[in-house]
Amino acid sequence: VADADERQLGQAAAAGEAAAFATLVERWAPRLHRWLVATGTPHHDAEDVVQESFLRAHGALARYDSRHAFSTWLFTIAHRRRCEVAQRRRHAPLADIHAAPAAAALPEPLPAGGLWARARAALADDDYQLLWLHYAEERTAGELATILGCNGVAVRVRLHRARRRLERSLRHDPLSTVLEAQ
Amino acid sequence: MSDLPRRLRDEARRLPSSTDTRLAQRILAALPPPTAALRPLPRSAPLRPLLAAAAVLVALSAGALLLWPQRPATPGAAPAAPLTAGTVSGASLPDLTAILDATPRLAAPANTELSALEQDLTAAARTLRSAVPF
Repeated sequence: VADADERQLGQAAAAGEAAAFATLVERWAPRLHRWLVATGTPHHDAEDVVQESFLRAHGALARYDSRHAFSTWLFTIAHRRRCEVAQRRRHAPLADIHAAPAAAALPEPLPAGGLWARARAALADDDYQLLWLHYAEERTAGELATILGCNGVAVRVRLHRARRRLERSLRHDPLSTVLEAQ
Repeated sequence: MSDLPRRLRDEARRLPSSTDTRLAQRILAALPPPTAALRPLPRSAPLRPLLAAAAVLVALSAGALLLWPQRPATPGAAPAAPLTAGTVSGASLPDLTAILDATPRLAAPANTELSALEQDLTAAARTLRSAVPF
């Protein structure tokens, strides 16, 4: 999605055009959902987070700043909501946590043995999420800083370290030599 | 240079994105109905006439206050004549009562006017007492 097109849609939605907002929902709901599931949010929680993020965005359309891409704004809202849900899960009774371990252990869209699945296993949650947003969602370091609420320089440093860590992990992973030879 | 970034991008592009449209439909169904409140106000246009109207109202109020005629404290009553020693002597009892009622209370007891007034009132009361047959 071209940035200019996305900004225009965001501005039109902020001006009250329901069709523009519907287009944004159709474009970005599946991407947000994929990101959430790929970064370890259980499927049903991910759906709720996506829905609540769009509802919050809709309620705050008047505050949309068209200097940023609409999707960056959406990812920012969804990231905050995701953190709230994760925090709630951490404080949930032990029985609830054990009730749905499968979804968290192997996120749905990641094929086992693939590069992303190995990155998921090798990296801490924050680093893995950073790599995903940068390479899979093609967010720039500046956009990542906005989404995650941190400094752009810190984002670049963290990205670099996460990449090196993943490379080291892949070098010591016997599966990676087999897969690269194929 | 490592080709890891390219491999990460390539594999991410091959990953299936959710094609389930039910989520988008559920979100759109949950949205509140469109209202005028969602539309942001244009930034400048409506404020100018409002400010102009407010300025005219303020100017009119100030003018009305300045031009408003000063009225006596009691509508219909004539303003009391200045109370001096001369006005009291020879006055009848109802006149004195009226004069006293209309005279504002003096704040300073040391006022020289007050002592003269007291002397006149005392003299007037003595005159009145002598005029009454009992």
